Amino acid sequence: MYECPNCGGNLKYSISKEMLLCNHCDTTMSPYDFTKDRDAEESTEYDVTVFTCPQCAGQILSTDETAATFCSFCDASTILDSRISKERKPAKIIPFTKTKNMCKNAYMKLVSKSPFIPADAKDEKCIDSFRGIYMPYWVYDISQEGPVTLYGSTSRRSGDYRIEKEYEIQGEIDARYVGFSHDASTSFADSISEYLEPFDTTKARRFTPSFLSGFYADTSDVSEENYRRQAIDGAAENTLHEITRSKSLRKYTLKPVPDKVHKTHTKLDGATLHMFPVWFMSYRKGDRVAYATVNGQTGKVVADLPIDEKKFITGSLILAIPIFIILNLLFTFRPIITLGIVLALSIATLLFYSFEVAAIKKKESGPIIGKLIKGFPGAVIAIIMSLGTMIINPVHDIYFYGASAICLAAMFTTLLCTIHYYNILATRPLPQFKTHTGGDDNA
Amino acid sequence: MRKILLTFMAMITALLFVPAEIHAATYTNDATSYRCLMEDDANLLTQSEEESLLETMKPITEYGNVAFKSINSNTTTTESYIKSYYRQVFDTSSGTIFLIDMDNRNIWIFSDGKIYRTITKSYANTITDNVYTYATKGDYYACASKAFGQMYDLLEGRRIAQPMKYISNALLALVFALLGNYIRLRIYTRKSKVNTSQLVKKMDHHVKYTHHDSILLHTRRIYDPPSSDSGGGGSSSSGGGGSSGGGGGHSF
Repeated sequence: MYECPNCGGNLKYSISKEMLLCNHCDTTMSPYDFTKDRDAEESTEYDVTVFTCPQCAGQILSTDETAATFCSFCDASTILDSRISKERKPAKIIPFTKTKNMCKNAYMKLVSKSPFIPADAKDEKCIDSFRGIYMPYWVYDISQEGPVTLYGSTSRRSGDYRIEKEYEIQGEIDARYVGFSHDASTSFADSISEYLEPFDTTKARRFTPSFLSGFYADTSDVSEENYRRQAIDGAAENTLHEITRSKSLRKYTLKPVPDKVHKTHTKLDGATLHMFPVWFMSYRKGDRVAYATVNGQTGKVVADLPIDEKKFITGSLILAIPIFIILNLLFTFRPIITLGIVLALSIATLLFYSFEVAAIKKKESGPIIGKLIKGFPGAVIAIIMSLGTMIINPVHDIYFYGASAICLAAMFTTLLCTIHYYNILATRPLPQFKTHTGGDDNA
Repeated sequence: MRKILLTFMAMITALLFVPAEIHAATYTNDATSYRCLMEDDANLLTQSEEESLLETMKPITEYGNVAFKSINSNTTTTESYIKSYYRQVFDTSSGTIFLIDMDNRNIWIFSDGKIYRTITKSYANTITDNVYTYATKGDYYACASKAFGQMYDLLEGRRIAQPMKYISNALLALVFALLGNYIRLRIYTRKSKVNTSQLVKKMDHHVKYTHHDSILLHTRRIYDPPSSDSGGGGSSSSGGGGSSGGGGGHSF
């Protein structure tokens, strides 16, 4: 806790004032003016209270000792265990510039546009549980210096001939990047952090623990080595992209460059720990958990958006009414045509289903994979039956209606399975950080 | 010249389709001059049924010509046959024909002119769908009689039952709604990731490239004459004053 020098109240970082503010006497102070002895600049560590969730073992840090009453990672409402600890001091911090209200509005804007979101995701209490958390990120310092040889060609026409000239293009590059970043926390999934970017690292300020007052911070438990390659590749790719578009090389059609990193003399000069601002909220969806995050600097929202199956069915039935009216005004389909359309769309549904299953197999592992064929054989049988009906072309309409209805039922089941699987993709298993052996969930 | 050609074609068609034994009955509405024609070449109706059917057909002559036709053999499709037959008997004037094609096991309605504005292709499909079960059971009189009855109802501005339309559209509406909603949710719940160029804009960076030299390695001359395609002249054609009738049918 940072005590106000005037009244002894709790000083907290005010987003709007960009200062530490005392809520009792309105005293404001620069975060740099308030340095506890233990936060001394030369120190590589700082004192924090580490809150640990008794259910998932997820940890968050705070400079405040006030008890935390819920876990942001597994949504458990419980008093988190606390202990005083020393944590590695980050080099820089991007302070929050978006207030909680801005964050809530941005989230509500996304949720209101997204159809069939479960009521929990829109619940006032749930939305109010957005918590400002500074997420640790590794920021890589990359340089590129040295001669570079590229190969390219030009082409021009001369009468009935095309003249092609091939060149060896020699030049020199001098490039530097300070800002390729990657989250350094196992509890912050890549599937969120990568979409939450970009953070403007040019706005990062020297870290002092008082910035954390009023907020939480996540622990950094991922080595910077994990994402080195990604940062280096990104720098090499971007440099070549910029060189290709440079005025002097624009006239050439450049050949693809193998081993871009080597070619561009890309080397890592170092990596520093930064803290980036993220508004974070979680809610349960069955035995899984969904996260919603808002970039505390830009206001960009990245959220797991699961679907409420009941809302989807009700919404579809309601939507079917105007479609039915419009179809009646415009079309009279013969039963065989109806069956053809239903059949084609059933096949499309099966394709959607296959994409979801493939995506789950890529993302998840374990017992869930064994349950993935539910609904699939039924749909295939229905499609074969319908195709048979179309080929036989019976006289009575009832066969076409029957086949269409079976196809519709199979499509409905397949779609519900698809949505069920979509929900698996849109949520995550309840975290168990105790069993985590390091590295990011998907790294 | 066009008239001569049409007459010649009509004569040829008439010769082609003239059955061995013709059961024909006619009636002309004095007020409208529209004709009522019955040609039961397939001999599906009894004399009394023909007379009764003719009575059912007569009111339609207030709106146009009307014909009942049944055939035993047909070398073309039911649709082609009925179109040719229509031109043969009614040419381009307003009218409607109900055909029972025993060869292809189809019933068909074809309309043209003023009547076609009411008994559209959709309604022809609906009516034949409503009555095909009678033909399946061999009750051709009921089949034709109900068909003409429904045609008259439509011409009189009354509504007819359209179970085929409602069942088909209900099924399709459900299918479209389910799939539409799924596509909608996938679009709205898609997350967008920034690319490297966008990331780089938000970081402290510089890229300086100094171009020193370009050394010519090879020169190739490839024979590649410009394409000799030239724009084709526009063509225009003007259609004759053809009729745009149509209809629909159902197997039985």
